[in-house]
Order: sequence, then structure tokens, then C-alpha cells
Amino acid sequence: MRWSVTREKAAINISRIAFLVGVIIFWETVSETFGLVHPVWISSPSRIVNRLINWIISGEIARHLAITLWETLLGFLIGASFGILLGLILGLYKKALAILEPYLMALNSLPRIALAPLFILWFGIGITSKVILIITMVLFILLFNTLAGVRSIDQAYLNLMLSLGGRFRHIMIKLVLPWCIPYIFAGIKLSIGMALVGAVIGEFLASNVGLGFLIAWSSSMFDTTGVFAGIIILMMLTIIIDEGMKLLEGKVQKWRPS
Amino acid sequence: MKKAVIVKNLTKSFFKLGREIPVLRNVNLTVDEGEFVSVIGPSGCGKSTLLNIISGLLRPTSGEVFVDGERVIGPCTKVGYMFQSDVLLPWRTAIANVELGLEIRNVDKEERRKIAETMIKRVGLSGFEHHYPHELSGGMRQRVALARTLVLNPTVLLMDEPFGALDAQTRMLLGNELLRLWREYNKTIIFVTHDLSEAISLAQRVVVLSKRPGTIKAQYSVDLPELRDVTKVVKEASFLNLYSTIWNDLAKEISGG
Repeated sequence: MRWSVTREKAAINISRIAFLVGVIIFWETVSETFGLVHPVWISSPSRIVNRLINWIISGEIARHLAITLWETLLGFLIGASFGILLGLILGLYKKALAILEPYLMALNSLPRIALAPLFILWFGIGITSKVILIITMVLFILLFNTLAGVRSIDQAYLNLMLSLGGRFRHIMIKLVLPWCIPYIFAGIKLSIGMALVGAVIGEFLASNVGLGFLIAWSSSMFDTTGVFAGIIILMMLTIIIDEGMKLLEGKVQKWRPS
Repeated sequence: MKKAVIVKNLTKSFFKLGREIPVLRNVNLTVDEGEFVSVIGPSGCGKSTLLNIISGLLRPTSGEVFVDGERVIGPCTKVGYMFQSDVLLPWRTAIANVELGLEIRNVDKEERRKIAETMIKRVGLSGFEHHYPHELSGGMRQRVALARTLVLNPTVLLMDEPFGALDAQTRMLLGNELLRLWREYNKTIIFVTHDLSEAISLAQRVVVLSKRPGTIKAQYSVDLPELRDVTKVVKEASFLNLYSTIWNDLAKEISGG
């Protein structure tokens, strides 16, 4: 039984790799071998790999990557911290929430990307404008997720904490925060990828460094290979972040029934 | 006899959409130290509200409550409260759940581990200390909740249908253990239930509440030995007589007569 399950898994993995290899070979032959579509339009796997190697050797990519990651991290950390804090406060002070909720909803429904030009106008083409853009994206996700977490706490648990003699700080540290961790985690998972997208979009619009800049610059030079190489780096980043999150999630939620 | 709990002229109303909903009306109740009293009444008669007020979680609209001679004005540390659900924290193991109240009271780590281990044994959960709540059965979870309440050594134990969600056998088994622990630790217990047979088989006195707004309709002392086997007393004549008397009271309340 176990044996057949692992075999099935292996078969799926092998088929996946075969599929990817097939796509790459098809792409390569269409553009390079037969010249059906000129590489100016769709580049080719060999050109992209070449470009990636060049970028890595020259150190070009490290410079762009470092800036984009820095913006992502900074915007994410600030946005997430404020989002969680606001979520906890609003979750516990229901009056404040009742007053602010329509405004929060309205702010959250604003398309942040449409605000990006404003942020660039106000904060310049440096990293500040990107960090602010990311904060506005991340903050609301964490705010609403944390809020949902606090709201899901049964009154009986609060009664329990009070009847055990718990004060505000006990309720916060021993009940509310651990209770909200799965909610916060879901928010983090959702928003960390978004933070990366925010950084790249900010760089698209106005900047002189970063992955988004690299892709936009390549595109303006009709350098399709550069565009694809940049996209592939973005893809790999997203996959790494995603897998990292899954790993962390397994550790955080080990008490959950499977 | 020293009085553990005194409830004086207690009235409680809730306000919903500007309308007053009376829940308890003029309740007077005295419980002796070491006594086991069960409170029974039709559902929605304010049984839980009464316990919430005695524990200090809710303020009465009028009237007052004294526990161990002191007036209750906020969450009272002399009272241990067991709820309808076990409200165990799912991310804590059984023993860590038992330690929760001790942590809040700043008992140091080694001390509280020792106290919790002893209590876990007392409630019959040896070997399950490091299981998470989702790995325990309903009965075991209530044992953990009981241990969590008892480690704080409260004078008075308030129990709000603590065995309500369990099957009949587990219920009686836990009932017997509760009686044993009650005598062993010499606690005062107020036990709320809607199960008449449970109310009589456990308590020394049964208090019957009327339908909402709840007020004390009758009180009966139970003529059974303190230490008894709850699986057997249900066949005794004094049990059966009391059962039918109280049942008549309750039936009138439920049918609205």
C-alpha cells in the first residue's frame, strides 16, 4: 500500500519534469532550430540561460536583487507589524472598530497600483515610494486577518481567562496572540508574495535599480531575453518564498489535528 | 456552619435593543462550606447567569453576592469555574493547560509543574500529560479542565453543566470522581445542570429555579449518603421519590402552568 503510494508520487514527479523539459525543447526548437518565430519576439531557453549566467558572473543581478528584496522585506515587516497591532487593538475595542470600519473598507478597496504614481510623486523614485506602496498593500491584509482571528475567539475563553484571574496582558499573551497565529500566518502567506509584486510594480513605474527596473529597461530596449530572464528570477523568488512559508507553517502549527 | 456563598436579593436584567429582559428575579441562596448544591431549571432560566454573577464575571443589576465572607465586585479568585465546554487551549498540552492558572498567578516553573503533575494523577490522567486536547476524548478533556480548576485551590467550585456534552457512562464515572475529589479536597460546589437525575445523584441539596425570569421555586435536601455510587443511587427509593416530586415542579415550569 505504502509502496504503491510512493511509486505513484514518483510517477507524478517524473511526469512533471518530463512536461517541463518538453515545453523547453518545444520553445527552443520553434525559435532557434526552425526559426518559426523569431527570437526577437519570444527569445529562447538557451539565450535566457546564457543571460542569467552573464548576469550572475558580472554581479549585475545581485545589485538589482538586493534592492528589490530590501524593499520587499522592509515594506512587509512594517506593514505586517502595524497591520497585526491594529487588528488586535480594533478586535478588542469594538467601539473603535465600529467607527473606523467603513473607512478601512473604503481604503482597502482603493486599487493600490493606481496610487503608485502618487507615492512616486510624493516620495521620489528611491526605495521609500516602493516601501510605502508595499505597506499599503500588506497592512490591510494583516489587519483584516488578525481582526477575523480576534473575532473568532469564543467568549467562553475570555471568561476562562478572567475566572483564572487573568489581566489584560495575560489575555493578550496567553490567549489572543496564540489564537490568532493561524490567521496571522494566512495573512503573511498571502501578503509576502504581494509585497514582492508591489516592489516590482513600483520599480516598473519609476526607478533606476531593482528587478522591476531591469525588466522594464530590457523591455524598452526590445531585449526580450532580458525580460524573460528577469521574469524567471521573479518566478524563482516566489517559489522560494512559498516553499519557505510552507516549511514555517508546518513548524508553527504542529498542534493542529491533521 | 460557615457560609461559603451568600446570594442576597439578586436581580439581573439584560438590555437588548433598548428593551429590558429580566433574567433573574430576587434570588436568595445560601450555601454552607463544604456543601454540594445542584441547581436545576428549564433551559434559559438564568442558571448560567447566576454562576457568572457569583464568579464575578457579570455584575448584578441589583442585590449582592458574598463568597467566603467577602463581597464579590469583580472576577473572584476564591472561585473556580468549570464551563459547559472544556475551553482547553488547543496549542497547549494537557499539563500545560492545567498550569495556565498557576502561570497567571506567577507560581514559578518547577513548582507549578509539580502541582500540575500531582493533580493530573488525581483526576486519573497519568500518561496523558503531554497529549494535546485534540488527542483526548471528551471525558478526558473535562478531567483536564477539572484539574485546571482544582490546582488553584478555590474555596468554591462553580460547575456549569460540565458533563453535558458527554455520554451517559462517562458522565456517571466523572460524577463519582467528582464526589471523591469533593470530599478529598473539602470543596463547596454549586453544580448547574438540566439533568434531574444528575442533580439528585450528586448533590446534598437540589435548588429548583423557575422559568425566566428565574427565581428559586423550591429547595430539597437529598437523603442519600455523602459518598455514594451515582450509578447505584438511581435505584434507591429516596432517589425515586425525590425525582418524581421535583419532576412535578419542573413539568409545571416547562408547560408554563
